[in-house]
Order: sequence, then C-alpha cells, then structure tokens
Amino acid sequence: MAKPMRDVVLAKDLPSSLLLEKHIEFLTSYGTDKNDYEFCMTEYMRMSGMYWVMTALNLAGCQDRLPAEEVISAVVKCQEESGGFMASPGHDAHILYTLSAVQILVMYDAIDQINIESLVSYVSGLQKEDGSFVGDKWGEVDTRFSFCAVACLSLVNRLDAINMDKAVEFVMSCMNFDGGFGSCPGAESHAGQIYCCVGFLSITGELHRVDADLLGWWLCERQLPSGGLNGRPEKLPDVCYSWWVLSSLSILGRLHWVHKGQLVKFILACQDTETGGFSDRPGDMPDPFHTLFGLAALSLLGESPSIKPVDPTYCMPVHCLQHLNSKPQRLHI
Amino acid sequence: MHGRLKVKTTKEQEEEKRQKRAQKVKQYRAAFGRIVEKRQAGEKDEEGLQISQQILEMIPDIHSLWNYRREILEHLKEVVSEDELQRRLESERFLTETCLRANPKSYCAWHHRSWTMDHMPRPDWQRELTLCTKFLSLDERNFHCWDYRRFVVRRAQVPAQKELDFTDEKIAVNFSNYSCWHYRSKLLPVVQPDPMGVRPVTEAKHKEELELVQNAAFTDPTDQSAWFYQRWLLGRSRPCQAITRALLSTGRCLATLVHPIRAPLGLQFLIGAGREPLAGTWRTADGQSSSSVWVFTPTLPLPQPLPGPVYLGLDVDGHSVTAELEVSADGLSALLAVAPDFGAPLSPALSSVMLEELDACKQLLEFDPDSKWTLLTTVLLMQTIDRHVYEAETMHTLDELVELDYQRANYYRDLRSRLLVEYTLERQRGDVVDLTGLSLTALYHAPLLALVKTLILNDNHLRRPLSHLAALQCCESLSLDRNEVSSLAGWPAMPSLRSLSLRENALDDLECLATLSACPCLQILDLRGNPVAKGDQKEFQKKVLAILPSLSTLNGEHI
Repeated sequence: MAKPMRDVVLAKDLPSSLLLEKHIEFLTSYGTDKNDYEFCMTEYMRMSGMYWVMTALNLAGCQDRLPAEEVISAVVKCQEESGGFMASPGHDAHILYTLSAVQILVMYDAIDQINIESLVSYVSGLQKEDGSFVGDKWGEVDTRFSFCAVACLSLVNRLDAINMDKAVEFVMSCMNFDGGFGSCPGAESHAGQIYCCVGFLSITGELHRVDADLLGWWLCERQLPSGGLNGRPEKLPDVCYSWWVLSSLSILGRLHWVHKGQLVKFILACQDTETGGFSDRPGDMPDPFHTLFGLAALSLLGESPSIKPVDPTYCMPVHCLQHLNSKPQRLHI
Repeated sequence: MHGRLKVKTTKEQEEEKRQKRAQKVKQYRAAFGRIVEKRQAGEKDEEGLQISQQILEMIPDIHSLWNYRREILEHLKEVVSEDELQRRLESERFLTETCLRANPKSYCAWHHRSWTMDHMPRPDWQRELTLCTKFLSLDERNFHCWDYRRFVVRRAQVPAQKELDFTDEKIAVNFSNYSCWHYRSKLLPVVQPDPMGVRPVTEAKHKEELELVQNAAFTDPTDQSAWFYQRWLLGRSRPCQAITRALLSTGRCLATLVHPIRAPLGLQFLIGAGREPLAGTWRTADGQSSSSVWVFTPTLPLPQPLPGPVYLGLDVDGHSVTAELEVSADGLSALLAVAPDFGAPLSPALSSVMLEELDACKQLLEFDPDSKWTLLTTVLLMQTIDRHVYEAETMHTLDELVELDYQRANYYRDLRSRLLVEYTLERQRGDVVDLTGLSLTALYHAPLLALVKTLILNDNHLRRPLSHLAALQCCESLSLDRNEVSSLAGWPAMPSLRSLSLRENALDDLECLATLSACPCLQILDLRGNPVAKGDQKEFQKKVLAILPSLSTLNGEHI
C-alpha cells in the first residue's frame, strides 16, 4: 500500500523574508541568562554552542556585538594539558569541541593564543592504526572525527602531522552502494555523515574518489515537495540538512541540482517571528544550531546579500580562511 | 532542538514550568559540581556512580559523565571479583537501556553500551541481538541501533547468511526500509560474491534480487528506498583504470586516464626498442593535486625523429600497464587515442531479465504515466540493455523528467548532457569535435577532448565556471557562441588556444577577461553580442587590449 510521503505542509502565514535583525538579537541573547534551563542543560556542548553563535553572527556581519576578549579567553581557558579542548570547564576534552574551539579562534584571528603544538599532538594522537580517528581516549570511532581531525589540522596548517593515506583509506571504507558515507564501515549513508566525508576529501584533495554524479543525485533527492531537505530517504525535512546536503553538493559542484527558490522558501518559513532564530521545521522551538545552518544555507544559495559568503567545507565565513596554505578542493561540471 | 513543537501556554502554566526548570537547574548544578570535586579528589566509588546516573537519566549525552563511570568501573575491575564485575556491568547495561528508551539516538549511550559489553566477563551477545531486533521493530530506521547490531554480529560471529535472512524478514514486513536495503548491499557481496568480479553478486542472485526489488518498487512506486537499491543493482560496473589519450611531440606531451590519480605513479614515456624511460616531469593540467590529465615536460629536447616505437606506462593497483602510441609518418610525434567505452556488455541471461524489467516498467507507466521513478528506471534500463538502440527514447524520457520532476530538472539536464557528449564522442573521432545545438548544460568527459584541435560548443546552455576546459591541452580554436556564460572567472590556462569565440553570451564585466591572459597563444577573440561589448567599439577595443595586449583580432576586426 502506498504510504503518504513524509513531509510538512507550509502554512500561508509563515515568514517569507529574512528577519536578520531578529536573529542577531536571538544570537546575542544566547547565554545572557546563565540560569536559563536550555543553556544550562547544553553546558556539555558549550564550545560548539559558542561556535554556532559566533559563526552565525559573523555571517550576519555582527561579530562585534559580542565582546571579543571575553570570547577568546573563555575558549583559551578550555584547552587541557593534553592539547584538546573541553566543551566547558569541568568536562573532558573531545575532538568535537576541539574543532569548535579552533574554528572560533581562527574567526577571531586568535589562534596564536593557544598551544598549537599540543593541539597538533592531541589530534594526531587520536588516529588509530587503521587510519580512523577516535573522539577521545574511550575509543568511539566515527567519520565525523576524521573530518574534525583534518579540519583542525588544516586550520593551523599542520596536515603533515597524521598518516594521510591511512586516514583517506578509512574514510573510503565507509562509502556505500548509494555513493554516500556512513559513520563507520558498514553504516548507512546519512547527509550529516556525507558532509563530513566529502568535507574531509575536499581538505585532503581526494574528491576524485567520490562518484559525484551518483552521490549528487542521492543528495538532490533529499528535497521534498515542501522544498525542505531531509537527511535520509523517507525522513522529515529539517533546516540543518539544508546545510549538510547543500554544502556537500556545493563542494561537488552540483548545488544547482536542488530547486533553490523552494529551499529558500522552506528555510525562511522556519524562522521564529517572535524571538528570532530558526527551528528545524516551521513551528518548532528555535536554537542557535539551526540558526547557524539556516543562515549558512541561505549564504550558499546566494539569495541573501546581507549574509556573508560561507565556505562549504569549514562552515566558516570565507574571509576568515585567507591564511590557509591549501584551499579545500572543489569539483565542477 | 529537533522536533520540539513550540506550544502556547498560559501564564500559570508558564510559571509552573519555570519553577520546575529552575529546580532542575539547581539539581544539575549541585550534582555536576559534586562530580567535578570527586574527580579532582580521585574518588572512584559508589557515590560517583549514583550521582552520574541521576544526571545521565536526565541528559544522556554528557560524555564526561560516561567517561567518569568508565574510570570507576576500570578501577573496580582491579578490586572486585569477576562475579561482582559481571553484576556491575549488567547494571551498567541496564542504565544504557533506560537512557536509550528515553533517547534512542544518544551517541554516548550507544557507545557506552558497546564498551560495557566489551568489558563484561561473560557477555550474552544473543540477548543483545534480541534487544536490537526489538528496538528495530520500534524504529526500523534508527541507524545507531543498526550500527550496534553490526557490532554485536561481529562479536557474536553471526553468519552473514543469518543476517541476510533477518533483512528478508524486515523487508517482507515493510518494503520501505532504506536501512534494510542498505544492509543487504553489504551482506550480499559477502554471502554470494560474483566469481567474475563484474557484478556485486553472482548472476543467479543478481536476477533474484532484481525481481525482489522490482516487486517492492512496484508495490509503492512513490517510495524511494527500493528504487535507490534497484539503481545500484542496475549500475554499470566501474571501468578499470587505463590510459585513454597520449601524445608525445616537440610542442606538447600529455597523457589522460580513465580515473584521476594523485601522483603519476609509474607514468612514463618509454621510447625505442629498448623501452628507455624518457626523463622529465609530470604535472596536472588543471593545477589540482589529482587529475586525469597529466602534462609531461621532457628534461632534454625530444630526439628527432623518434627512435622506433613509443610506449606509455602506468601503475594500476601495483601492476604496470603499457600502451603503444602510433608514431607519425615523419617520425616527429606519437599519438594514442583509445576508442571510448561508455557501456559494458551484458550477459544474455541478465539481458533478458533487464528486458523483462523494461517491459514491466512500461506497463506500469501505462497506469501511471507520471511516475518519475519508473521513468528514470527505464532510462537506466535502456542505457544498460543497449544504449544505441534506445538513444532517441532515452533523450525523450529525460525531457519528460525535466518537466515532471522540476525540482531536479537540472539533474536530468546534466545527465542528458552527459549522455549526449558520450554519443557524440563515439561518432566524432578526429581533430574537430562539434557539439553544436545539443542544449548542453554541462561539459562532461573533457579529458577525452585532450587531443582535439577545434571544439565547437555553439548554441548550448553552458554557464557555470568552465575550469574543466583545462583538459583541452591541444585545442587551438574554441567556439562557445550563444551560450549563457556570464563570467570568465576560473577560466583555465589553455596552452594551445589561438582563437576564442564567445559571441552572444552574457558577459558584462570587462575585468574578468584578465583570466584569459593564462592562454599565452590567444590572438583572436570574439565578444560580439555580449553586454560588455556594447557601446563605442574603439573605446572597447582599447580597454580589451589593455588587458590582453597580444590580441591580433577582436570582434572580427584586425587590430
């Protein structure tokens, strides 16, 4: 029996223009109430929270709305002796938060304020014999961590510190029948994971290993009648997949395979007209995570001149990446 | 926050919620503060397990708390009996189960469960497998649970055939289970590998699988899962790495390959009966780190005439492959142009299955002519069965898809462009390739044009950066009249290009012409009919010459 397609219907009264000033308010209010429930309950990923907020503000051209010195010192304080970064004091270092910290510091041109040598040795120390990366010493392996590792190292121009051939070999062992990638060998393709692996291959200059037509087709099939993108077949659309799918397509030179106008419409419909910020789907609670990925996707779509250009590999403003020794690879057709 | 609906509440409800939340914040702060103290003091005890459990039941994603539990458990392992350790780890397993029931997508809780099982003195893997089956009946797409299942299967050494049987059962319950089809794509090549290595599975199984998935796809033609899987089964096997073009001459030496390579491993010209390697250096044509077009610069001038036969060698998967070039009558150059191979032949048995499938698709289309998945599958089937017989029908179907599935219209346009270039390259094999008026939106297979001297791309819809023209190392004349080119940003270095015609495009920025200075031989440029060339011609000529001083002819006028 045919089942109804999983999607949402966009109501007529949803926002259709960018409420940038509201989003800036939403972002700058992040963490102003230290006792806020959501803020407190997400302490364990604070560093990433800060990265989402800072990057979104930077893309909106309002980085200076938050005190740079405070931000930098809060980040620097989170570097452990091991060289890795914890999400916030009292927590343990992890490669996820290490990348967020490095991204923030690069955006503020403050990377020199940390111990880069110990950072490099922390990241390279997480590589295993088979080329994969663990998130911390407790052994979880995931292609997300492979991306974090090469993104971190390339941002400080130290890709030489790891066994690159092995690292690439591992990521390629996670490729699937549909041209996509999963979290580990055998795991199902997922747009977030695909972004990590395609981003990884763009940093390491190995994009030719991807079947770009096959994967690009899978990615553009994520677009649903509502215009929104899902992360896997038969799933609901979500603003954050606008980023994971779109950035991958952009790196593969196939951004034009989705319908831009309809996607823009879906993303704009996910804005919260009261508080500002974007949610995953229209009518849900907004948060900094979806706010960044909503703005970044609009930037890639090039339809909103008030948002600065974003780099699809690093999810950082392009103007912050001028210092890189080698630019991430892009495909064209 | 995923899937959390924003609800309107009354003032009282709001206040009640606020108080509850304030209480929770207080509890969290106190508990987490205590953990930090205990860790600093090096305390690894029962209290640590209790407090961290309270917080994790509320927020299972705090990885530091799981870390602390593991520290405590590793410590206990040293001091308690094996039975006690077993009991402890069993309650640990129970905790992850509690957390996963509340939050089935917690990375941390799943990881902790595998860690726990790996440290248990007497792990009951069968119980784990049963739990996975149960979880997957609640949510058949939870990829964390599928991943955990594969972990358990490895540990318990469950035979792949048994897992394949499990996917049979799942698919029988619901065809629309992409996770399950995915798993089959991993299991089948293990259970029934193709002895010839051409297909993913044996021919008999391949036929059977095609029938199964066709049945699934036809049951619900709007469900994506089965169609994706079917496309994989219909897919062409990846062609082997090989040399496709090679040229050795005083002006230019190059090699092109089926697949890009990162380092020119074993890539070398060998000349004379003794196959002496020619000294020199290789670089990629487009300056990227990996490419399928490589340019060779010999250290010394080439001997004239070339002494006997010329070969090109390449390492493929550790083996050395050689191809012989044809030396010209005057002995001054050597050339190789392998006929392109865009379709692998099918065995008669498989061919008949595919024909049956095509027939079935056509019947389905009679009932539902707008089924895009069925239409796209007929394209794939036609391309696989006989791409020449079905050429016109393929193009017609792709045109239909552009109209029908307009969200992905550009995908079908590019696919159409790819096939059109393939058909043309099979027919046109000389120095001149004419791709006029094909409505091309993309230029595929540029490396196969590496030896072409004249390329005509007039009357198409090309518009994106044309950086892949870098492959056209021998192209002297390029015509792109009446396309949609609006910028020359990213225009590559084309070392042989003498004449470039871009009439009636959308160029409106004079500055972008500067990229053409990477083409050192460029003398003739035609920009008539572009916004940039409007207005006073003398003035325009002056401005262009300031950017490109070596031009001899601009817009048809000799300078």
